Amino acid sequence: MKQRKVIAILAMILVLVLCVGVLAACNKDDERYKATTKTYKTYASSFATSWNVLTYETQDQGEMFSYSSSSFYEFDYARDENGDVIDGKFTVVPTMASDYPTDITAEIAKEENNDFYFTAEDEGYAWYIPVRKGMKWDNGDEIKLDDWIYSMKEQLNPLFQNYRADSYYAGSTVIHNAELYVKQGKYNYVSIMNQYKLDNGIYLDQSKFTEKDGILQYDGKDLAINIKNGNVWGDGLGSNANSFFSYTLTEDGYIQYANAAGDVIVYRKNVDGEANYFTSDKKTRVYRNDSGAFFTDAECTKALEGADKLSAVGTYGPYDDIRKAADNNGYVKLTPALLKNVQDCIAILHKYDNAEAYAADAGDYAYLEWQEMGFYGYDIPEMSFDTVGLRKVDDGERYGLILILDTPYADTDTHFVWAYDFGGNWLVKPDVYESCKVEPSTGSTLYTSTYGTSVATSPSYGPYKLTTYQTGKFYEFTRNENWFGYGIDSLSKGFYETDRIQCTLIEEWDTAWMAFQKGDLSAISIDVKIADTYKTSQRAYFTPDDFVGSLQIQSEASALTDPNDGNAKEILLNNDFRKALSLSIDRAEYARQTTTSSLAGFGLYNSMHYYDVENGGVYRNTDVAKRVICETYGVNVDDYGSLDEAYAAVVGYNLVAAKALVEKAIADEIKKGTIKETDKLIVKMGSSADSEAARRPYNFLKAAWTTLFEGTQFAGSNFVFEFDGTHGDNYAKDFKSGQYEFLTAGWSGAAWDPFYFMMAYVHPSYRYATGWDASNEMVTVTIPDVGPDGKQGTDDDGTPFTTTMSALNLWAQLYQGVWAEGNLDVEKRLIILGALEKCVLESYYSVPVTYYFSAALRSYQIEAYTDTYNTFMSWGGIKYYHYNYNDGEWARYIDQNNGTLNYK
Amino acid sequence: MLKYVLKRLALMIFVLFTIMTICFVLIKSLPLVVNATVGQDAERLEEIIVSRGYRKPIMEQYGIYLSRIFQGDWGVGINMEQGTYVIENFRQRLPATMLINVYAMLISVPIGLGLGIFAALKKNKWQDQVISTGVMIFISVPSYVYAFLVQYLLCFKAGLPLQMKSGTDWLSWDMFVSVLAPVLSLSFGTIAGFARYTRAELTEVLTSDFMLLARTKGLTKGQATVRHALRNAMVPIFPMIIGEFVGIIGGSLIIEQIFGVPGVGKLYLMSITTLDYDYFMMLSTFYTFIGLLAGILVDLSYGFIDPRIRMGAK
Repeated sequence: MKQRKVIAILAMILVLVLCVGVLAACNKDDERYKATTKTYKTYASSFATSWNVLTYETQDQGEMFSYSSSSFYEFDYARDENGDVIDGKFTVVPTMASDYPTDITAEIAKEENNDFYFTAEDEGYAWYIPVRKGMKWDNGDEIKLDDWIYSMKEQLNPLFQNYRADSYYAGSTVIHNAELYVKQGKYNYVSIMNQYKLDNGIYLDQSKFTEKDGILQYDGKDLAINIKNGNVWGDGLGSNANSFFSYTLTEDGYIQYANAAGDVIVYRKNVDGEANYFTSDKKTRVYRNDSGAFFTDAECTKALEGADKLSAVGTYGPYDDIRKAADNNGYVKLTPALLKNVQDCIAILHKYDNAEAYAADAGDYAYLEWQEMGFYGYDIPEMSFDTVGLRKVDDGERYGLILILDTPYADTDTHFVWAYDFGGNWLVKPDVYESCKVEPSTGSTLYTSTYGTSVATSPSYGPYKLTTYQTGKFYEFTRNENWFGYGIDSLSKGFYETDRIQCTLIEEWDTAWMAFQKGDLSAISIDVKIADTYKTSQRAYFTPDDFVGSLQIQSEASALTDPNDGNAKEILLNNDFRKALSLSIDRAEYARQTTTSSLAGFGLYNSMHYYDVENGGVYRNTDVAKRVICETYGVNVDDYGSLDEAYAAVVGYNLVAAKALVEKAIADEIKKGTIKETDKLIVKMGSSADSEAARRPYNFLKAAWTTLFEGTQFAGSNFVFEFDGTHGDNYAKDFKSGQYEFLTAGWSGAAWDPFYFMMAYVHPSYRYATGWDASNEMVTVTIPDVGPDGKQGTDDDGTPFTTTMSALNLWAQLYQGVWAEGNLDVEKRLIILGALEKCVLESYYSVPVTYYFSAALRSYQIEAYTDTYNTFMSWGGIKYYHYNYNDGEWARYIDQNNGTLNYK
Repeated sequence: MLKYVLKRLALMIFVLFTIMTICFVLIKSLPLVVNATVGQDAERLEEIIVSRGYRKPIMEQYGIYLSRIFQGDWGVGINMEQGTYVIENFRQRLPATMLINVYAMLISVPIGLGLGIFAALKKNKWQDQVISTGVMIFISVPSYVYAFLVQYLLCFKAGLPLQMKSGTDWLSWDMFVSVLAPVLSLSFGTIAGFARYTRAELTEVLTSDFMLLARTKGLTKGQATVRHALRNAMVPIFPMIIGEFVGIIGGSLIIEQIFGVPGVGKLYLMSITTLDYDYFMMLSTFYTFIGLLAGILVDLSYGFIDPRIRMGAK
C-alpha cells in the first residue's frame, strides 16, 4: 500500500513536470516566432582565440576582426548606368577614407634634410589619404588620426616583434623606415636597395668606403652580401645567382661540371678538404686525374662516358672564398678581396670572364652592380617613430594620413592597388591596447598582448562588434550602432540586413550537416559523400579557387636509386614512365571521386589566374595557354576546326598510350641497368594525415595504376602502393627529402600575377621536385617583334627573336629581368610564360589533376547578392546577404517542415 | 599512516619533477623551424624565436621555466590560443569537461553497479546473458561510433540538441538537456565497465564459504548479499570508482569534438602539434600530478574500505 502511494506521487510529479515542460516549450516557440532579427549562423572547424590585427596569422583570426573593422578602401561591384551589377567587374570605393588618395611625392621630396629615396620627379612614393571625420569606436569614442599613428607605432614596436610587422616592409608595401624601426637597437642587415637611391641610378660612392678590422664600411656601416637570399639577386641575375650562390653550390654543397651543351655530368663535393666527385646520383664515385679528365675507377684507367671536356658551372674560385666567409644566415661581410670576388662573380653571371671584361662593356656599373644585392650591417640606432613614413595631417585644408613609401605604388584609374595592397587596416584602440600589454616573462625579451582575446579587449570600428565569446565554443557579433558607415548611404543603404553573426565551433562535418538540415546554419560546404545528391540542388553554389591540385612525383635521385634493393622505383626518373602515370589518370573521374566539385585539371594555371586583372585577362583563356595544353596532352590542333575545339577535346587520359610508354620505359631502364627484370615497383604515397579525404586520391591512383601495369613487369603483386598518413605538418619537407614517392599537393596564391606564380614550379625554394633542376632545363622561346637582343623597342629586322636558356633563368628574366612587366608587351610575356608552363608540364614531376572548386549549400533563409561569382567580391559577403525570412519566420518555417529541411 | 602519506607525497614530487624534466626535454628536442612565406621576413621570425629564449640550451631554458612557474607564471599561449593566459584558459575550459563527466559518472555508477549486481544474482540466466552481451558490445565498440549513433538518433531524429549549448550556466535545465547526448555517449562504456567488473567480483564473492555461513545463520538471500557479499565485492570496485572520478577532469577528445563541448580534451594534443611549450608543460604537469595523486588516493582508499588493509605497515 505504502509502495503504491509512493508510485502514485511519483507519477503525478512526472505528469506535472511534463506539462510544465510542454507549456514552457510552447511559450518558447511563441517567443522564437516573434523574433524579427536576422541572424547569419555559421560554423568553424577551428576557432580563433586571438584576433589582434597586429599579430594575426590565420584566416579564422582574420575573419574575426573583419566583422569589427573597416578599411580605407574596399572592392565593390561595378554597376552600369541602371545600377545593375556588371559581371566580373569591380570598383574601389573609399570607406574610412573620404576620397581617393593623392600622389604628393613631389611635395614630400622637397622637404629639407629628408632621407627619402625619391626625388620630386618621381611618382607614387608619397600619398595623402583623406580620412573621414567623426568616425567612432563602438563605445562612442572618436577615432582620431593619432590612433592610426599609435597603432602603427605599436605594429612596429621592436619590444613586441609583432607577427604582422613585416607586412609594412617585406611585401609590396614598404613604408619608409618601417624595417629600421622594428629592428632598431640591434645589429642587423638591411638591404642597401631599400636604404639608398639606387632605384634612381645613384650608387654609393665606393671611393668613400673605409675599412674597419678589414671589413669595408660606408658611413660607418659594414657592407655585406647574402649568398642564401636569392631573391635579392634579381633584375636579370636572379636565376643564375640563385644557382650560383644559393642553390647549386651551397644548399647541398655540390659543384656541377657540365659539358659544352650544358648537361651536368659530374657533381663535386668537398669532404674534409678533399674534392669528391660523383655521377648524377650523387652516390656513385668518379675520379679526376691531374689533367682534369674524369674516370670511373680510382686508378683513372676507365674514362667516364661523355665526360670529356667538362667544366665547372660558374667559376668556383671567387665563389668559394665568398662561401667560406658566410655566416649561418648566408651573410658575407665584404673585405676588399671579397668585394672583388663578388664583382667577378656578377661578371661571370653576365657571361664575362671577370669584372674588368664586364666593365669594358658596362663601364663603372660593372663594379657598382653588387650594391643592388648588397646589405648594410650595423647596429641600428634607436630611432623616433617620427622618422617612419606615416604621418597625420590636419591643417584645416587636409585631414588624413600621409604615407611615405620606399617602393612606389602605381595607382590606376580603378585604384585597384588601394583595395588590394592597402586593403587591410592596422588600427587598435590605444587605451585598450595599453591595458593589454604583458611584460616579457623570465627568459624572454618580448612583450606579448592580450588584445583581441575577449569581448572586453576587442573594440570595434566596423559594422559589427563582438558581444559574446566563449573559448572553444561560440562567438556572436551584433550590429555596431556607432559604425560610421550606417550614416553613409553609399556604404550601407539597402545593405547590412544581417543583425547578428553567430559562429559555433563544429569540428565534425557530419554534425554540421545535421545542424544545417535543422536550420541552425546558414550555409555548409558540400562534402564528397553527399556531392552526387546535392550538387544539383537549387541551393548549391560553386566557388572557384586558384588552387591547382597536382600529383607530385619524387625526383630526388638519391632517394630512388638503389640498384640492388629489388625495387624498381628508379624508374620514376624516366620521363616516359612519369608521362604514362599522368596519362593513366582519368582526370574527370578523379575529380568526381576525390572532390566535391572540382574539375579535371590539365595546366599549372586555372581560370582564376589573371594576367590583366583590371581588364579580366585570364592566362588560361589565352591562345598561348590553350595551345600548351593541347601540345602537352597530344591533341593536334590541326585535326580540329579551331584551337578552342581542340582545347575542349583534351581529356588527359589515354590508357593505350600510357601502357606503351610504360613498356618502353621498363625496357629502356633494364637496358641501362638501373632496374632488373625481377624488380617489383614498391612505392608510397605520403600525406599529412590519415583520413578518408586523404585516402581518396590514393585509392583512385592505386586502382588506375594497377590497371596501367596489367600485362607489364609491375602487374599484380609486383606493384605495391602504400599509404603513409603520418607526416603531419612536415609532409612537404619529408617529400622533398625523399621519404616517399607520391604526394597530392599544389599551389595557390598570386592569382593576379601568373608570371610571379611560376616561381612555385621553377624556384628551388618552392618546387616539390627538388631533383628536377630548373637551372639545367633548357627552354627555347621565340618572341616576335622584338629586337635582336630580345628587348622591346630596339631595332628589329623582322626576324623573330629566338633564345635558349634555362627554365629558371627564363623565369627570372620574365619576372624581374629584361622581359619583366614594363619591359615587354604582355602578349609577348605570355608566350614566354607558355613556354615555361610547357617545360614544367612535360617534365611530369608536377602533374596537374584538378582545378579546384568548392561547393556549398546556402540555406533557404538567405540569398546572395548575385548569381555569378565575382573574383573581387566573391559572393558579396555579409554586407550583401538578403534574408527571405527573419529569425521568427525562419523558426516557424523549420517547425512547419517538422524540424528538418530538404535541400535536394 | 601519516608517515606513509608523507613518504608517498615526497615520492610523488620526485616523480612529478622527473616526468616534467623528461617532457620538457622531449618537447624542446623537436625541431623549431621558421616557415616564412613569400613577403615575410624570415630573419625577423627567427629573431622572435631567439628573443623568446627558445634557442638557448635546453637545460638553461628548463631552469628559466622552473623559476617562472615557482613565481606562478605559467605563461601565455604563443602558437595556440594566442595571447591567452595558459592557466586562465585551462580554468575556463575545465567546467565543461567536468560537467559532462560528473553527469556521466552519476548515471554510470548506479546503473553499472546495478546491472552488475543483477547479472551476478541472475548468473547464467537469460537476464545475465542479455546484460553480458550488451556489456561486450559497449566495451568493444569505440565510443565515437555510438557517439555518432546517439547524435543521429537522439539529436537529429528525436530532437535533442546536436551540440552542447553555449554559455556558462552550467547547472541550468537547458544546459542539462544539451549535454544529455554526450553524457549518454560517455556513459555507455563506463556502465559496461562497471557492470562487467561488479558482476565478476560479486559472482566470486557469492560463491564464497562465508556467504554459505551467513545464510545458515538465518540471513535472507538479500540480507546476505547486501551486508556481506556487496561489501566484500566493493573492495576492488570502490578504488575503480575513485579512479573514474579523477578521470573526470581528463576530458574526452572524441566526445568533446563531436558534441561541441568546449572542454580541455583537445588542448593537450594541440599543444604538441603546435609546439606551444607553455601549454604543453602546464598540461603535462597538471595531468601527471593528478595521475600521481589519484594513485595515492586509491591506495589510501583500500584502508578505509577494508580495515584489514594497512598501507605501509610492516
